[in-house]
Amino acid sequence: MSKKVNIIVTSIVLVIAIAIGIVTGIEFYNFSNYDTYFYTGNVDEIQKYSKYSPLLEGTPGDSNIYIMYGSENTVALIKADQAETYATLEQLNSHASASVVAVTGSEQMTAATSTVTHSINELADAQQVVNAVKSGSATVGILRYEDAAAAVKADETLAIAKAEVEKVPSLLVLGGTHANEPSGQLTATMLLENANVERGILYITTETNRSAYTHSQPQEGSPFYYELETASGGTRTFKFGSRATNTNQQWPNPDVYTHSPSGQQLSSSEVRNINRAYPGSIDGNYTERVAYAITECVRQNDISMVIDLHEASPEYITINAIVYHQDAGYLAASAQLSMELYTATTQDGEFINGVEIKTDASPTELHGLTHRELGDFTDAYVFLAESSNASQGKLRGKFTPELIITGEDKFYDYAEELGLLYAAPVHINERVARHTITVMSIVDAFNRSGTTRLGEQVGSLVINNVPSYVNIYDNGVGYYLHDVE
Amino acid sequence: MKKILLTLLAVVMVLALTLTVVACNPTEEEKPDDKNNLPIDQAISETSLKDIAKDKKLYLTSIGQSDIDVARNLLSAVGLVETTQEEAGDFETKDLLTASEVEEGAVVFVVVGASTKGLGGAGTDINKETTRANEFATAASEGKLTIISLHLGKQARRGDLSDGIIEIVEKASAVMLISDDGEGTGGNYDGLMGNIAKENNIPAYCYSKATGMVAPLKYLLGL
Repeated sequence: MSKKVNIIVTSIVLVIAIAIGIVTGIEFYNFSNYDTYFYTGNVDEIQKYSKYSPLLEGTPGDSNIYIMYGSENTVALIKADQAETYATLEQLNSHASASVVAVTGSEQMTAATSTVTHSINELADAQQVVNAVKSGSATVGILRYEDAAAAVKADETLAIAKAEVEKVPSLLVLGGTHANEPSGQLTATMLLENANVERGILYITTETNRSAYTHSQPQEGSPFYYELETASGGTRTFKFGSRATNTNQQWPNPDVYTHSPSGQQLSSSEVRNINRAYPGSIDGNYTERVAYAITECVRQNDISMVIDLHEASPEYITINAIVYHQDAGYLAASAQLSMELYTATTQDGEFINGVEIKTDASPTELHGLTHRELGDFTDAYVFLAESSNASQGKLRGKFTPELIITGEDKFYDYAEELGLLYAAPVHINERVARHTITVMSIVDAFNRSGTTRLGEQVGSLVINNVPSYVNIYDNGVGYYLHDVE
Repeated sequence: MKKILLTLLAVVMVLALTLTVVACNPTEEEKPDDKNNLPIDQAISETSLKDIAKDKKLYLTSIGQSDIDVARNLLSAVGLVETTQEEAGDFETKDLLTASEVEEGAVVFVVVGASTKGLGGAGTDINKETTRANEFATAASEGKLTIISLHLGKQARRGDLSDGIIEIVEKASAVMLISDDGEGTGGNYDGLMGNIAKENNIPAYCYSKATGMVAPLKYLLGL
């Protein structure tokens, strides 16, 4: 070719390359900055990770912790300017001059008398209690959370004391630990948008490692988004991200990752995996700071149970399973047997004769995972659940949003015929249904004794309005998601 | 010329490889095949086993360190209360129970099947578990205790690590209860336990769900 033609061809190729770079760059930028919508109409409080891990403030990984308090929880209503004075039950009891009122003849009285040392004046109803606190004739009013929350909403001079008058059970559901494991995020989202907590406290994260949702896994060729249809025909869009923290937040990384505090050494590929970073560190690498936020949330709020929702490729052995910290073994087995007994008939007439799930103890020599470190460093019962995700596996063919949702792939069909899989890849509806029944079965198992890991009797965690396995199987996950507001 | 020949060779090799992959078809022999040779979901018929564990000192252990929590749940479902540090109950659970710790005449529910995670968590290994298995088998053969073996982990608790201890314990059992639904993935998928039962004249039953063992356990316990 002549020099002139060479220059022209090179220039054309360069222009095309730059154009591709700009277009894909814009696409990637939009993906990175896309904020997934989550309906929070049922949520009582939203905390940021930075409340527990200050160095995360203002960064992409400063994710939300959604909190729902049980309407029947017993709480203390106070003047807002006394919030620091009554931050703990000990403070409440130590202020001899405090006058306490509560609703007559209610269960709140029974709960209150067991923890509050003051003599308690009885009033006829919740409104009288609220009025007494508002007027100053009482320092503390003990009543149902629902009534207290309504009073605070109507009057900003009032607040709910941190002092826990009645200890209640609590659960943290971690969704979106790995941004390429969609059923974890979707299950957490479905709980967030539907659960109605009657007693106890429910904490939910839908983007546990939010940084991982700002990029995709290199060389996987994954789609950026997938969509679900809601009951009204609307569309909910979710991101398909990476297993690991974005290198924009954490780079450079060492060739060998040394876990703190165990000293365990893993390959560099794990240094941005939050599920190898627990218990985390307030000033460690970025992923460790995120893990630290979760650990501190569990520890500071004395959360009773933690369930971390994941997926795994169908050729991976730990699949359709609950992995449990050693102290949670009895509850895990109890949940397993409950799921085995579940029966239902789908709309198509298919009889569901149990939901089979394995249980496996957390390996003591593998550090950094939720079921190991949160179990060792907090007082929570800790579980991790896995479902079968074809889009995560290495046998798949073309990577499309349909694969993420349906799990259908001819290469996986072939592998299944050959008996090479530990679990068949299934539709996202079935995966979310499985995770949901797992969560609720663990809660039921806990409620049979209502006893925390420390032996405290806290009664039952009551969560209503959670779709059943067969409901999700029949109607689909999207049916239970709100339209974008 | 050389370049053309090399290119042609490369194309032929790729074609050959592709054809090889395409030609691989599952045969009847490659598909999972269930060889379960034991009754499934049937009540225990041997009258000699009725009340075998009634009014006896009861223990629960695992040899292989797997699924003991499932067994604890089953015994609770039957109506038994587990002994705790604070209070004596109907049965005592100990992960690493040895035959020498067992009272004479007691009945020991032994969950068989190995878990590498369980072994690590309990600070033991398969060799030590095999020793325990042999000690229990010896004690049972001498009439010092009775073993009721439970295999609860299906095919996941079979294989090189598990099968040795399964054979030792099950040969010494009074009765074997196995989780197997006859679909080719249960604990007796290859007929191993059925063969052990037949060769040693030991009653053995499979249950498609672990919860199906509640009724036979009640039969054994006289409840």
